[in-house]
Amino acid sequence: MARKSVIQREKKRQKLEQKYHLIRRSSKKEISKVPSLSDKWKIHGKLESLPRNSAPIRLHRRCFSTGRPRANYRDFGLSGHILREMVHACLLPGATRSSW
Amino acid sequence: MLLINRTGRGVSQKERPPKVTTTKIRIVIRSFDHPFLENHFGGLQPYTRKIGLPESRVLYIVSRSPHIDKKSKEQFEMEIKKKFPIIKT
Repeated sequence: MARKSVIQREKKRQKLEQKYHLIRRSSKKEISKVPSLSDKWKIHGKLESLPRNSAPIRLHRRCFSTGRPRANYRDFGLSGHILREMVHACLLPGATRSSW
Repeated sequence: MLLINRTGRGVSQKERPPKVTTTKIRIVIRSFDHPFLENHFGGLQPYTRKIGLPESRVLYIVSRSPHIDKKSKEQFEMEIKKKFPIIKT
């Protein structure tokens, strides 16, 4: 189980990313449209003034139940070990052991 | 344009009875188990067209141990079956 503080930190990043998502997207579009360099720097300054944790690059997927940052499966939002346990317990619909 | 009916009398296009229109409902059924074996189409008419669509299979390979032993792994899969029935109403 990951530390609760780390999980909360990640949740905070997600909230910030959602909050500033539209502002970031619009300013990035403006940068591509504006021809002069000085205007581009101004818009870039606006981007820099936003909190760093609002950048989507800072987000990291974590296991839904344990908060583990590695070996995550996007389809389930779980880490490998928990995924295996849940498949054996028949908690994931459609997932079966395979052999071919 | 004149249509000749059985009595031999000419019938205009306007007098002809309206055509019975049937609506077709097209649904894509996706399921983990086979729709025919599980008899999902039990309530439909026997002449319903059922077109098979390609099945997709997703594999997940997970290491068995929570800590060491990378060589021992376990394979899981999700098979998604698809059928495309055309229901006439």
